[in-house]
Amino acid sequence: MPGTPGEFCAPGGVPSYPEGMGERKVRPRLSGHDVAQLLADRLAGVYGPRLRRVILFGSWARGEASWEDSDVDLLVVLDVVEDMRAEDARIDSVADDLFLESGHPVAAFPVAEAELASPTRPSVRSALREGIDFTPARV
Amino acid sequence: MSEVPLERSERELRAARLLLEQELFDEALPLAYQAAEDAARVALEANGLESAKTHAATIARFGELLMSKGAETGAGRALNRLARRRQQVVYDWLPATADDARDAVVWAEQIVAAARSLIPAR
Repeated sequence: MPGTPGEFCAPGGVPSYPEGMGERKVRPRLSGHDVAQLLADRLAGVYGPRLRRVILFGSWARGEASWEDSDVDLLVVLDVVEDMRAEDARIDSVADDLFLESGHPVAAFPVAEAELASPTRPSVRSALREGIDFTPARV
Repeated sequence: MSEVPLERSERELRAARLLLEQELFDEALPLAYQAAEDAARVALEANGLESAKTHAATIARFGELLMSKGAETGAGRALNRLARRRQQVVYDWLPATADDARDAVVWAEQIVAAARSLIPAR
């Protein structure tokens, strides 16, 4: 159920996320949209203002996702990306935690804000065409 | 299930190590992933779970199986991460370095070991 860009559009409203959820044996059923919002919120704690937004694309953005069979494709838009591997390493543990919490494989890739103006990679073009924006809920 | 359930994964791991030695990093990394995914499928089937149709479903169900067994979830995290690295290589997002390929083989070995531990003794 995709929403408007920037909208938190989890079915049934905003879920609560109890402490220690990573230890739970029975996981809540988070949607790809939930995962996108959580990734944005948590990466805001890692990057601060360097994080511009998170874009959900692929089957979840198109409303074609299967709860059982779909991964969550995300672009992490940063101010600049000078070292892709370093940014990957920063995103890794957040993405892996969200995989275990949601049950959806999380494919999150860093991209520089400037690349969105003239994208060359197909996945970036797809994200711009069909993507849904998520911005962190900064305090 | 074959007579030696993880034989295919072990063979793929050996091939991935050979590719790594030959400095064919972009080729070694996806093969390491394949070894891991095949091992995850074997573990799912050995536990009476339907074999998943997609990469994503296999990864998700393997993570669930680890948690349902109270197993260390590091292998689930590794499989998610390895899948992400594979996508980066296959879709020309970021070519694999020697370190990437070496990490991939190590993660795949961990996942295969975890899968083995989840296969009930006959």
